[in-house]
Amino acid sequence: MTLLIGALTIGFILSLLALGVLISFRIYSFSDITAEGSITLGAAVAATLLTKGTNPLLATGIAVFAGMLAGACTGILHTRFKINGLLSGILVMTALYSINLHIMGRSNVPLLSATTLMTWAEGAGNGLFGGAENINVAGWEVSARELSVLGFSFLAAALVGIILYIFFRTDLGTAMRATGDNPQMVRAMGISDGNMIVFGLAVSNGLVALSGALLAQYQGFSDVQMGIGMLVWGLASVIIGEALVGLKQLNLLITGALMGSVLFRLLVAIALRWGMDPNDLKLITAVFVFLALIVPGLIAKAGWKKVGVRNA
Amino acid sequence: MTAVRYFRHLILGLLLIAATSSVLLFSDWSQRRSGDTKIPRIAVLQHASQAALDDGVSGMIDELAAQGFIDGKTAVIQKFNAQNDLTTANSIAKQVVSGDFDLILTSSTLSMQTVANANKNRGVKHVFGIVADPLHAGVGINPENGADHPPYMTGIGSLISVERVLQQAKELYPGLSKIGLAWNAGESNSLTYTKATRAACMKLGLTLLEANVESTSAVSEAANSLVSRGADALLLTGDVTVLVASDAVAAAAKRGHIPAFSVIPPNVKKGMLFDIGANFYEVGRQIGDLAAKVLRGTNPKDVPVVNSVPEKIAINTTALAGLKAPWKLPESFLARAALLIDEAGIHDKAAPVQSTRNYKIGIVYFAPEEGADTALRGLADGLKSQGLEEGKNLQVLRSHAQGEIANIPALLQNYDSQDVDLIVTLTTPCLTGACSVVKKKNVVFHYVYDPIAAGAGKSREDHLPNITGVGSFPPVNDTVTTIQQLVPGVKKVGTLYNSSEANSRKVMSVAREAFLKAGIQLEEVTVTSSSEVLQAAQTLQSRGIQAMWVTGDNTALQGFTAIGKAARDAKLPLIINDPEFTGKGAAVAVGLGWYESGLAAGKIAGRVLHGEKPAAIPFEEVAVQQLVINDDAVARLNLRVPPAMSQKATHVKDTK
Repeated sequence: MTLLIGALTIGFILSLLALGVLISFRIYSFSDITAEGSITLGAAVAATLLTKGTNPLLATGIAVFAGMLAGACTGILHTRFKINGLLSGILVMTALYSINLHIMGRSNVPLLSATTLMTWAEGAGNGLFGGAENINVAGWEVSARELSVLGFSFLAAALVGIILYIFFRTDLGTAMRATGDNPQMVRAMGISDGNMIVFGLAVSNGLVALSGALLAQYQGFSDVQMGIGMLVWGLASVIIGEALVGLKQLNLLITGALMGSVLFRLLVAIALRWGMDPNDLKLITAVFVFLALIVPGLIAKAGWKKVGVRNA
Repeated sequence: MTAVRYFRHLILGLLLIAATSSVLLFSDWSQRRSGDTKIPRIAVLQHASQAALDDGVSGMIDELAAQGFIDGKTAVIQKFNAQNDLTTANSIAKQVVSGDFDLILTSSTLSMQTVANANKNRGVKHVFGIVADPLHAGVGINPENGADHPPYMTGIGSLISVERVLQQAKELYPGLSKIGLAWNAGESNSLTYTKATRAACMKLGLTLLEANVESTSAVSEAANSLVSRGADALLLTGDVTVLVASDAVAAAAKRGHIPAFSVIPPNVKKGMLFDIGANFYEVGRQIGDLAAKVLRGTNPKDVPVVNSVPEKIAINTTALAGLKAPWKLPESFLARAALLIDEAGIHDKAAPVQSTRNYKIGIVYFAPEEGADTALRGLADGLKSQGLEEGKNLQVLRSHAQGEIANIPALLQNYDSQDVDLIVTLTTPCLTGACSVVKKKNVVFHYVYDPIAAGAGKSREDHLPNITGVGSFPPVNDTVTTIQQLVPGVKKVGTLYNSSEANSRKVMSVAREAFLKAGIQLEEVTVTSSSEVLQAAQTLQSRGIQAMWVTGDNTALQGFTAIGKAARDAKLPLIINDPEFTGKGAAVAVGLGWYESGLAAGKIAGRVLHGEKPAAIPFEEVAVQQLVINDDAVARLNLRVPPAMSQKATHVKDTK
């Protein structure tokens, strides 16, 4: 049960990463590698501030802002200096490595005694559950603290998803989406597509940094290497999510990314729980992702549900 | 799009999430508990580390486990040991009566008394044992009637029947008439035994010769006097003063050609003819049984305090030789002996008290590599020294993070929620992860430079309560000295490392100072991945260094062949901290034997598995130095190795 709760919690936290990747990868068709640096950036900024006793909400907010700056840098390199999108991401990600080390002052910042958002969540849960240490869920002893943290991460993911949905339906959000679909049309309407890209990447990396900040507070430390490989998993979550919902419609894409991230973490947890040879873990994970991608299609073929791909 | 259609598109995803969650929950089915049972919390107290008390405690715990109260799974069992200190015993007693325990078990009279005293107004359920005479211990039990006692406590007394021992002696030699007894009138327990002996002698028609002793040194004289007064045999009861000098009693008996026997096994090893005493492990099991009943709802009030002595008989047939009276050891008596000594040696029929439980540990490390493998070998041997062997009574689960930090929490959570008894971590990031993620299980770490920097505690004694282990800081100062010896007059040394590795940064901060003190300039180049190592090594050489030094930086070690090659091309001596890599181009390794760190961690892991609390085990620092010299490289560079250094080093050649 702990493992299930842990997998769901990490799934919700990393769904923010998936949402960030969704913006750059799906809305802008921009392969933004900055994410691997900005997730660590978020973690590094939040962790460093938290150890100095900053208010957790403020620390997380500053982490998001730092992530947005990083995304904006990538956007500016791409639009102003005409550097290939992939390369501008690589440049910023590489620079962030050193920056993150400078922010933390060392490679790993433990958060054991710091007050974090998770501490707050535990406190809130403590009030909710009447101070009980453990709660019985269908026969399993579940730590009230873990449950509160899970609830918090779910609320955070859901809230961000809803805000994102509302945002993309505003004029600004619509213009941003249009930039991804048809930049020429956007320019014809007198909107700077370059600014839109810069802003979009900033929002994307802000979300990624938020994910990193929450992850650091959940796992209790920030490490300079924690971003490595993250982009791949973010992409996997987005694509699994698309396969799950079938339609490329904004609200479904957002929900899909969320579900994809959670499902992906659950699959990893199963691979772990079954205690297979540790060297095979990645192989098993790859097989699971493969299955997650083709199963919806197979089910559709079997006629259980008609999945049509069309743009809304 | 309507809400209904929106949700229809989510059905598949939600179903799959539900399905995978169910699979995960199903794998955890065994951890399910029925809703209304709370895990009982049990405190087990003993006054000192002494064979009889230890046997009693392991009996209690084994029986509780056999009845379904398994520590860490279906019960929380916390052990306390006052280490023979009465003040400690009192504070432990206060702590446990106010510590939200459902039941307190005590082993030894003093533990019973301290708890009974602290518990007077609390009334926590208390089951005692390994007590000679609870009725007269002043804890509120009616000496006339064992059923009349404080309603919250009950237990088992184990007053060994002297009458039973004397009767046995009479069976072995029907002509027995005079028994000699040396005892210390200053011991209250001894007085109880002596009174019982007097009564038994009266009943059996024996004459009791008594000799008082005041100290251990007087025992020999007292025993001799008993022999000269015509005793047919000497008896030894639970008198601690005399027990300590039991060889003197046996020797006196031997000189007088009479046998000696006791109520405390195994004094036969000292030359006594036989011992009939209590099997305290069995007593422990009876107490465990009683405890289980109380946990299931039996009211201690209804359980009378009884005396129960499961017998343990030990016989030494060699003591028959030279006796003047015709003592006989019938087969039927010999057959009942748990311990038998004859000409062929000692035969211990009861297997040594050893835990028959099977343990399960989970090992978490960062990625497979040579140093970690060496440490794991040490760990296995350390566990073996504690009687825990993989495949026999130990199940070992292994997992590594595939070199990705993000995987660490899930690996640890996986073990934290499974039924492993202990988690063992290697490497700093895994330890840091364990500090925040592992909540329910104990953790033993090793293969870590600096556990304090990793966040495991404030000091070696004051650390997270569920975490302990072994740190191993590399020998930086010796590295500097070695470089100075190899390259006389050295002024500039170059090093390369990955600044994102906590271990390397820590070593560098110490090294900078050490080199500065030695008047050597340290040139540093940092890398971020193993592919940059070769270039970094070449950069260093262009800075006019006289020697190169590489510490246990994981990134540098991954690209070590490149460093070795660069050093060889530039004819620079390369000094490293990892002996495993010496043959690959280094001149000298001043390193740590990771095997020794693993060995120490294995021993700690064994102690924790056997019930010790990690909170009470300070971090150990095990840094066994290992000096390895690569003779090929030394010859190539025309280095002069001081004979003293050469002597204590292991020598290797280039790895082909």
